[in-house]
Amino acid sequence: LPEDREKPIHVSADSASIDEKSGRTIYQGDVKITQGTLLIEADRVEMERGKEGVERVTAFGKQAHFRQKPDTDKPYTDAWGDTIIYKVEKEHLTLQKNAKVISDKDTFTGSRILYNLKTSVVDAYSDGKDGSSGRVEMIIQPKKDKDAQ
Amino acid sequence: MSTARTRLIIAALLLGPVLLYWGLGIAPSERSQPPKALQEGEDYFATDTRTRVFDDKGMLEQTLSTPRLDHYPDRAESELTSPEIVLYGTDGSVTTTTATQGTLPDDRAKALLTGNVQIKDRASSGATTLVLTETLTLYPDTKLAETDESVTILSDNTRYDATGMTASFENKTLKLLSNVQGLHENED
Repeated sequence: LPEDREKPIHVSADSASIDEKSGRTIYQGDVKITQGTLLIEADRVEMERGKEGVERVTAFGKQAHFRQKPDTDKPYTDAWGDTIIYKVEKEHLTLQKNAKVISDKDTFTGSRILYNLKTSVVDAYSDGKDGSSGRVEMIIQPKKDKDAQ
Repeated sequence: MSTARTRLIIAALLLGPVLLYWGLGIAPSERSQPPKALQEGEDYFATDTRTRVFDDKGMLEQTLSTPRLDHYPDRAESELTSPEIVLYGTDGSVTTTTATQGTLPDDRAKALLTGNVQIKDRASSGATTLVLTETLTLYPDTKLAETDESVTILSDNTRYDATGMTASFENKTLKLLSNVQGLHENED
């Protein structure tokens, strides 16, 4: 939800290391991050904090998973990638390697996907390096089917 | 003449005790209690102590203050009441550790602190980190600390809770060993 960004970020993990000088915290092991309706699940997360609070979250996993409700009347958006970079201020998501987004029943896959959380705009790229088909794939559900389901 | 003299005597009678009281400087109730006698196995004790350690360049490196220190030769260690250990970093940071009780071996390699242990680490930038736990082993010379108990860490807009921690106040790094919960608030 739009107001997710105002909410505090809660993290749970097996262990963590904190570097007060650089403001970087690395969480390891069954990491779960929640912020309102936003959820990130990963094996390892690097969190960078600045003066205003958390600025950037980088999640690594096989695969890292992101989920958020874009709006009260919309279904959850789910995203996966071997690496997920969440820029908190810009509300941008970058999914790297085996990237996949399911947004309002439309599916996008590619080796890299940029997803704008505010506008729900998806930019998908594929460079074929990660063993994928080398092409971006989108499955757009017909509007009628979407409303019927 | 006699009335003047009488007045003088009365004034003397009134002022005398007050001046005597001031002259002694301490009221009966304020006179400090005699220090407790030696404990079993104790060879000496010291009250209101403050120890300062300097580095080889003459810079103040650490201070240890305690209202009472009891030394036990057989155990080659001292027991500290309400100790306060202050470590001064080369980068201008100051790390202050307090606890209800402490034990300090004669070689001063480490201090075991127990009961309401608090570490307040103030970086040279002014940023402050507060660590709260129940027991802690502090290694003053290397500015390391560790605990295997539950610990809470508070620093600007962030709170961590975990079980087990190792910390280096020289490098400003902390490792939380298990059951980590993090809470990051946004700046208002």
